[in-house]
Amino acid sequence: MEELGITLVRGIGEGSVYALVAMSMNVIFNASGILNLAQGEFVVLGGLFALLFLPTAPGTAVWIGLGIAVTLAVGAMMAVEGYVVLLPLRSSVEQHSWLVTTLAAAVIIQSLILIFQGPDPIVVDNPFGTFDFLGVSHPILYPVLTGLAILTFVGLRWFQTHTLLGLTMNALRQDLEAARAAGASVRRLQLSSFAIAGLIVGATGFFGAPLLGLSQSAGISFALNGFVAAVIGGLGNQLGALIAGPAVGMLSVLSIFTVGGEFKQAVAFALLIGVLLLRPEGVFGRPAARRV
Amino acid sequence: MTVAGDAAVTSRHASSRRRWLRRDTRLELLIGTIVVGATTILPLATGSIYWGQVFLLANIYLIAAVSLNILRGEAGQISFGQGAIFGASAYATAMAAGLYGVHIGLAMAIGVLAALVFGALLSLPALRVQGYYLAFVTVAAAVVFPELLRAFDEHTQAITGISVFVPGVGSTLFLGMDWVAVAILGFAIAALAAHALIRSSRLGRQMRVAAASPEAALSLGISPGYMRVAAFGISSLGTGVAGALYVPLFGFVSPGAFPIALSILFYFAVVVGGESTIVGPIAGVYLLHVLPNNVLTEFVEYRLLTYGLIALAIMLFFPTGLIGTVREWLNRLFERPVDPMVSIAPLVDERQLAALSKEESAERPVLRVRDATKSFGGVHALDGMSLDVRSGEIHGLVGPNGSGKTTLLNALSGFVRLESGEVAIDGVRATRWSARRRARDGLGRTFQTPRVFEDMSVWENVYVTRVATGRAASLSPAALHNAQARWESVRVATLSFGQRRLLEIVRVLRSSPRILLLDEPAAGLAPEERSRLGNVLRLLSRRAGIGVVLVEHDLRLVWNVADRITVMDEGRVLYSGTPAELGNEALEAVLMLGRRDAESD
Repeated sequence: MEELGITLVRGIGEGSVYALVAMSMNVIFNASGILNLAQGEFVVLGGLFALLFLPTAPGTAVWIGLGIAVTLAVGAMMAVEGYVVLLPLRSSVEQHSWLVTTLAAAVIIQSLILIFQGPDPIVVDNPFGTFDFLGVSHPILYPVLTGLAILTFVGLRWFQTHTLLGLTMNALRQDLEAARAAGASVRRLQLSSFAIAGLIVGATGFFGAPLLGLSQSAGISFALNGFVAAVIGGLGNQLGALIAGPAVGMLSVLSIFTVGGEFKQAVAFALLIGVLLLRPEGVFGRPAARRV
Repeated sequence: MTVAGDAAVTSRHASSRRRWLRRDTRLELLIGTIVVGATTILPLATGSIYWGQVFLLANIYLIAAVSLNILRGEAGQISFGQGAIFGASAYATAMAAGLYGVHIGLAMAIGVLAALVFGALLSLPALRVQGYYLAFVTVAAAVVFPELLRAFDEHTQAITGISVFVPGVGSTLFLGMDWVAVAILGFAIAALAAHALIRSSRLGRQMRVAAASPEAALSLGISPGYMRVAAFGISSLGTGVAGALYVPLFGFVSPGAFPIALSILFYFAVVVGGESTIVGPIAGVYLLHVLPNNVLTEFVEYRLLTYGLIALAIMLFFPTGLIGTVREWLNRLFERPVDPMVSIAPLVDERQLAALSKEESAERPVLRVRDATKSFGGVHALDGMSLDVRSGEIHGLVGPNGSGKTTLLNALSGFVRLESGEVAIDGVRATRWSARRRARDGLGRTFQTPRVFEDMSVWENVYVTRVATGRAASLSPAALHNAQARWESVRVATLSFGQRRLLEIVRVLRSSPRILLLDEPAAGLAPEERSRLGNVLRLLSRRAGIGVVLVEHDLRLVWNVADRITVMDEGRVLYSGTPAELGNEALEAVLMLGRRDAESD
């Protein structure tokens, strides 16, 4: 019973973080076809700023205010990354340059954190209390993260259907060439997608920092788990990501009980390979395009 | 002289001119061998133990980077997990030798085997997915690998590490080198040579074709899946050798030696040096590993930063890598403007075709389609389409855009699976055959956008496949042989669009097809090239008995050369018959359809 409670609350809570990372990856992917390998590093940055700037006993107003500031800052930083990543795509024939540039960005951010902060875990106090569920007390922050994921999903949906920027970005996903022909400034839209993704992961890192076990080298595992959630949900499918994230989270908490915590990442990896071999288009699916 | 005698002479010629190494790889291989040899032998011979060790490790990394370069540069695959394969080999070697007392030679063989198994596991998803999927899968493998070593601590001794006593280390054989140094140097040079050989071989060309265009590969009878497996196998083998050599060099392994950073180092070394260049990985490893770790030792905390910045800067300013950029400069400097003139007519040996025509020219149906249907999202691209093509016949297929011509070609060549209806090749039911099987059975095709490969020479573009046996040759081996010298020196990047089309047709013809599907072959050709193309098609169909399906918008060309014409609209046959039977009525109908099409746009 206790295990069930922990699996549900922690699994869905951690999974909401995967869902948030997956949704942020989808935003960039839909606009540019790029999957940002440095996405996890920006989660760590959000948490690092929480550690650096939060006073010892922050009031709710300070916490939220600073959270918004950090979210904006991380959004701006990812826009800078996006600018650099998009640069060679303008002229280069190497369409896979982003694999190298986003990975290089991850390495650079990691090294900067190492130089200025060191390799120690980023420990941030939890400003919220706990609640009891099925006989175990859990941090309230877990359901708060789930709320953040749902809020992000609704916000993105609204943005995509009610704003001009969102509508044109959605058009990019349908057909890049057509959007370009229709006069959309593709580069600026793609840059915006990086900024929006940065807002999502910046908020995730800041607000999730007390629970996420962040450290200088933790970024890649967030990117991986986020990618697993995105693939299971169907790459580019936001609703799929929102549902797949908590599913991956619960499975990964469950694997701690059954096979042991040291296999947590291995289980996610096995899940990824399994899905790719059996159903590469994801559980929610996408129609296959004509090949020739 | 008889035709048979001719063929014998030319085949002897052809084999005498076989080249093991591409011209441009020879110089690179020579430079690479000298650099690797010098950096290894000089420090050891002069007794500098520190630098000797530095460059031996660099050479081990070089072997892994070259192996990845074959995978990346030739087969176009992505792997951020080579460090894990390297680690699997090193760990298996160390466990066998250090924990179970196996002889070091045998232990290293076990290590290479472990790398092959691990590499096969890693390449499984590559059969289903490509690109970014593969990037994440392999990154995940690289992250999980050291974690698994720690999880199975009782077997791997992950916490203490494994020490291995290696006999013979430190006892100099010659020039200050022990057997380990000799082995590392030997394998490093062997890796460079293996890459140069693969790049020059038919296997290498097939890998590059499969990477650039899986459809083109299938249409030539090459299986892209097989090419990927082969590339992953070769690169796992090389990476495994590198990992196994790591153990005798250090005599100690622990999980910390194989972090994800090692995988990233290998990948960056390839990209920074220049994909598919022979000496690129040398530059990459020296710049990304030796420079920050062993030269700039005062700035060791900036090691990771330097390394990320270098990779980023290279990608931004020299997207083809350091050596790749140098190669481009040299190409531009030394490339004389030659007249590439790909033309088909001189390659067709009329005498030979005439000799064969007696038995081949009997008109029989080589291709038959019955009631084919196919729809895409509710639109009927093919709606009960039927078509008969006889040997020695040119069958023109015309109709407005969107009438289903290209879908029909794709269904014939096996890229599109029909919902209902039958396809028969030479009287054999082939509806369920794969594209590759159809290609092997003598069905050749070209594409609307020619699938030719820019970084390969004209000659390499033509010599992608083995010539089919048992079918009459369409092109004269002697004429092909004569064109070789000229074609070898011309890169496809310098060819015009029309020339690329003709090149694609030459490539298909070299595989001596029985059926030839041409998708708008005249687009982009000059008027005189068009009429020459028409003559050649006639000659090939009449004399070599090839059944040609000609999809073309140039109606005059079609009416001039086709024996039979089918007019398609909305996935169905509108008219069918000889040009004379169809007369002007059908021609006007086609023009009308085209106009309707243009107005509705």
